[in-house]
Amino acid sequence: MSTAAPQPTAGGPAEARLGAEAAMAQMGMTFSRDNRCFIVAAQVYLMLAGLGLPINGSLLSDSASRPAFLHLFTLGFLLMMIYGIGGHMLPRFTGNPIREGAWPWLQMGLVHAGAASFVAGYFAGWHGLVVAGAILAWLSLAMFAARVWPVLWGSPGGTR
Amino acid sequence: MHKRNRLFVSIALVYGLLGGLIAITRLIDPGLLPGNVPRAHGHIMLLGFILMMVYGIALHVLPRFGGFPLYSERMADWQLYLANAGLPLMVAGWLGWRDSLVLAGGVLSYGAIVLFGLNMILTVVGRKK
Repeated sequence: MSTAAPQPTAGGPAEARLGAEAAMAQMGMTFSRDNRCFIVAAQVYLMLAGLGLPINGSLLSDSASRPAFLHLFTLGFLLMMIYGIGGHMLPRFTGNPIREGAWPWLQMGLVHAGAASFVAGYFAGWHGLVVAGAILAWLSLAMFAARVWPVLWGSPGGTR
Repeated sequence: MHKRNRLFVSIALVYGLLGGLIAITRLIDPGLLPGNVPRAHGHIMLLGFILMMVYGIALHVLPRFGGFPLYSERMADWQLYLANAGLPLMVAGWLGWRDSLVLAGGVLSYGAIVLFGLNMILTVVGRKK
């Protein structure tokens, strides 16, 4: 990766665009560590969700475990793929940086705790655990939305 | 990124949060919301969160990956309008036990799906208007 890219400067639209391009040049194409972990975790959840096929004969069986396997697929696989790919691609599409630091790791902790509690609650028949898991997963989505919103609607090249 | 595509992604996030809230409300007190709540939740998450996210990202990247400009910006704009008219109607129909609303919303949502599908096909094969 080049280290000689022009630095972001304050000023008019042309300078802002130059700053955005400079920031983009520093981003690179490869996943950051947090997004890499989201993608890896998504594949693990996909394999767990797929266990419903040999166990129940269907991903959407009529058994009591239906919500557990369904949400392993949606909360575990689909949502984490969106977290990983969205968190990687959207800043590159808009030129705006995404909040990093502890935020993505907190988001990851919430979604893992949420999915695990939700699924364990269904298997164990503990309704309180299901509700707690759903709330934790929802908080992770709220955190993702809070991280992505400035990426979508901030000004290109702006620092945040 | 085109404003319409940013709107698709933003609306997807709003639908995701709304669909989650509906499900949590139902889990806490099944009698609090009327109607077919699980079906409304499922469609808000699939048509609202996942599909709108796909719409926003795909409308941005597929023309670039395909090497041709988007076939029709107007089709994509109407896709946004139809998708966001259709889903609220469907949800209102399920929560209010109104099959006619579900049907009307389904037709509008399907219209958005067809516009997206045709627009993407014509974009990646490089058909000129």
